[in-house]
Amino acid sequence: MKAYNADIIKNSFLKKKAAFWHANKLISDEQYTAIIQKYSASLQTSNVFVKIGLFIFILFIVLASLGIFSLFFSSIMYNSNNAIGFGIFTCLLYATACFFVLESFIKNKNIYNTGTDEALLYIGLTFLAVGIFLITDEISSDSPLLFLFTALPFITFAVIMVMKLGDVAKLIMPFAFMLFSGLLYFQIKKQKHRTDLFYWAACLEVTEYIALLLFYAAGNYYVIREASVSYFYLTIDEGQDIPLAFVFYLFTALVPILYVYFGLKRKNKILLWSGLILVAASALTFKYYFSLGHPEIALTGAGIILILVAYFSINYLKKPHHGITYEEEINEDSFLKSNAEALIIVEGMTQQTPVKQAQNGVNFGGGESGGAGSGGSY
Amino acid sequence: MPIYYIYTSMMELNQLYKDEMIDEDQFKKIEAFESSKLFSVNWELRTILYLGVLLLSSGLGIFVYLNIDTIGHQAILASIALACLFCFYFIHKHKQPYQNEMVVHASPFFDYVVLLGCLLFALFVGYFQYQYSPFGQHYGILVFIPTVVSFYLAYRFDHKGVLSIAITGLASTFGLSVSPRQLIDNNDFSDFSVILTALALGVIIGTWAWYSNLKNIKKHFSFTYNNFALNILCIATLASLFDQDLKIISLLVLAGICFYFIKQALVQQSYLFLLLSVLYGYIGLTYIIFYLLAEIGNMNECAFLFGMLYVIGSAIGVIFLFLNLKKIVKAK
Repeated sequence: MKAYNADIIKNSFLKKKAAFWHANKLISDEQYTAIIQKYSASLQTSNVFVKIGLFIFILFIVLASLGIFSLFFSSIMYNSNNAIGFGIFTCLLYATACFFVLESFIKNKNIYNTGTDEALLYIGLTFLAVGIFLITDEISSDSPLLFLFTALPFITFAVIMVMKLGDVAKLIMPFAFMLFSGLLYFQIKKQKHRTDLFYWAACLEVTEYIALLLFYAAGNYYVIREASVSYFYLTIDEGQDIPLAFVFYLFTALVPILYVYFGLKRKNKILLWSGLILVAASALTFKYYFSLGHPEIALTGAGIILILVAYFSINYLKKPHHGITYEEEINEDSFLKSNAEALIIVEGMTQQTPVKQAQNGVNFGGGESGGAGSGGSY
Repeated sequence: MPIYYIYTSMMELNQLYKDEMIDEDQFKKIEAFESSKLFSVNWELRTILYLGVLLLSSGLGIFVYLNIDTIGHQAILASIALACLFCFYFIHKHKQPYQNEMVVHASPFFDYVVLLGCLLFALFVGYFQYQYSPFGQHYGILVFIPTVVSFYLAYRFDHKGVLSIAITGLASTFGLSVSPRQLIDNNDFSDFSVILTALALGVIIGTWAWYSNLKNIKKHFSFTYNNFALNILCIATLASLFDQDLKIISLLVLAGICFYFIKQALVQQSYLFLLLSVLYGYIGLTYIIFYLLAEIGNMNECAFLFGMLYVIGSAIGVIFLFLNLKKIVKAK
């Protein structure tokens, strides 16, 4: 059962593509106007900032109503012996109320991803999850089926199931997860071909990212080592390393590069972006265990490497090679990107440069080397 | 052939063809276009370049700061100066004539060299002052010179990032930290003179944004200016609302600021400013309501109930405003 009207969502897909083809002069002006008119029925969506605002204020309303609710019923809660039972009741009541309001909003107001519907959905789900957690906690049984309900997130469920295997879990956990995420990934790739699943296009995309990141995390050296220490009580002495350390070092180093390589080869942005983010994650992993103790050299070196990589790639891709180009793709949201960059610069630079420290007056040179007044003569 | 890259377009294409919005010739043309479409990595490479410049300059900054008393000063100073000169030489060689509109530079590296040059110059001036103290104890000059240079670079070579650096520098000469994360952390807003300074700075920046919009001087800079102005002004007024005994005046000033920026946001269709103004205004109003409730009802149950009812009512009002935004804008 779909809450939103699928046909109208399809309209927005059509209009978006038509606009893109129109911008690339594949569709004439008259045709474009006709297309806009034919598929004019649309759902109400909103700009990302309006979305954030709507989300926040919906949250305010729910919290305030929770406040009033507890004001009236707090005496019941304190006086009864079953405070948790009352908590469960409240959670389920609020979850139901959220979903009910959500359904009626979608039906009557024709909203789609406006922030209101997302807020109600997520808040409702949170209440539901807390409620179920309280129930399982109360019953406190060891039944895996109950755990399944607590662990509505499938991955948590999988962790618990593998953990239950006992000693073997230690050995197979990473590989079980690699297998699991690999299967998940290729299943999604297969399903993505189906055009009748367009309604869930965004969900499939998110799951694809999760599968890729999970696969990496399953073999990442940091994750393996810290998880072994915290969950499997592994003790690592000086000079020792975790079992199969070499394999995981290699995995940590290679997987991001493979993601980037295949992302470029297959022209797949999801693979490419995951790869780029994970290159940074791998760099941090290695730096964590093999730090030289000189962050300034690491930063400078990383900066020079990044600049060189970008410099040579841009020069190489000025003319398209292998179907990849540096030319910008025509799309509508470049404004946000260009202004975001300006903000990031200020964030990045203000912390470190000495000029900034100078504005605190005496700190300059004085903090580290001692004697604020000593100035140039040390 | 990467099928999954095409599939999303094929659904739309088939539908348009089926509904006879395009003819067969176009269908084939678009199909060919989609399958031969180039894969653009423009944004990814630009981001990598940006990160590289930022990491390099902050790494060098720390490097200089840590080694300031230990290694050959002349060598460091000379190498930074050389790198800086190289940047300025590159800029000089590839520059375009000044114009009030947006300038598109031929070289993809131009913007990044301007940024790097600006950051290195600031580093150089800081180091030079530390080593030789040509300006004596006037540390203000240390920020002032790079600020002036940054403003020049930003306007001459049309660079929004350098403009933000310049504005941050300008604020520092006033004694304020205005980068997004430090705005609240680093400023002592319990001091009334800091609030007044912040207000003055905000008004100056905001007025300049308004004036340059009017005179058509680098209109695309107005987002950066207004963003700084809005945040500085609102946080300063909220601080005075919370800490000072000027509740009514502060609230009125805040209302005025929010009104101005909501109007600006509607004119410029900028939803970020709309969101920020509404949020700041809402925080101010809510604070006053709860302040009054605490004064009158001493926070008993009845006052609490009123407070919660106010939150629900006002939030519904704001949501209604957001959802009917397009109608409101059109009505104007």
